[in-house]
Amino acid sequence: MALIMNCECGEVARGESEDELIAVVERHLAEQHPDLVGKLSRDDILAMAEMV
Amino acid sequence: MLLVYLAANRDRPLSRDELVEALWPGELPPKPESALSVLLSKLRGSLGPGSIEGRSHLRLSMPEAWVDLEAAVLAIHRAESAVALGDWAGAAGPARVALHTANRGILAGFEAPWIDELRRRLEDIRLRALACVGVASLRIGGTELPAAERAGRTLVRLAPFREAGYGLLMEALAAQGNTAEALQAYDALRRSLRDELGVAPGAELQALHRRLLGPPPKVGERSGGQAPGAETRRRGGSRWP
Repeated sequence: MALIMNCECGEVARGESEDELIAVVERHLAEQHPDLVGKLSRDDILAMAEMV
Repeated sequence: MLLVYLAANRDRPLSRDELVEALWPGELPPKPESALSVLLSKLRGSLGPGSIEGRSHLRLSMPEAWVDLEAAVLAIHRAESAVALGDWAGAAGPARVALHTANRGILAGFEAPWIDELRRRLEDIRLRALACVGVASLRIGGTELPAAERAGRTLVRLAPFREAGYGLLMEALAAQGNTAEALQAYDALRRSLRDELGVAPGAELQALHRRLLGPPPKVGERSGGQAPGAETRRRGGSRWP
């Protein structure tokens, strides 16, 4: 079962585990939202995640 | 429906009569007490032993379970507290959590008065979360200005008479160099308020509008000497929400 997180910008981050999803989201933040880097905690990201 | 009702009210014991009324708000089944027992038995079987406490009064006993409504309430509280303190970085995460959680909705396709009430609470959180996402993104600036604009546009669409949405949208547009569209947004609100309610925008929004237009000409200054919008990049001290 995978996890996804719909970024507010429309991007959908997907990971096969919590750690993978966190890594994908953090990479997306670094590339597309550098001003948000460090402002979303691991708990924040997982709270926004959904199982698919 | 039973699980959601138990989860939404897990802070108190619920009588069987209350559960029957919640599950069958219209016409009751022939034997409502038996029907409820069947549903409870199935739910206990799915959730595991000890998950539902009590007999005459019942309560969901799953302290570790994630409940969207509770998560949204906690997150919006954190976000609004951070916004009140001007902690934009601290507001960014909780505001998004509240927005995501509220956006998920609840029990699509089911209708009951208590479901309507939960939907109203979630919708209120959604609007407040949009305002927090918007203002935090606006103050963080840079790559987050488009997020502030999107939040402002969504607020304007969902709550067309909530002036905070227009304020956010106008500031986000102006901060991205799009002063003309910011003025257009104000004009749309002004016309809407005039036509629908016969009133003018509030003082704070009018002040923002004046700032976007630029300073008034000084006494003796030739009319038209100031380029329109020459001061529009300046950040004002307004507070949205």
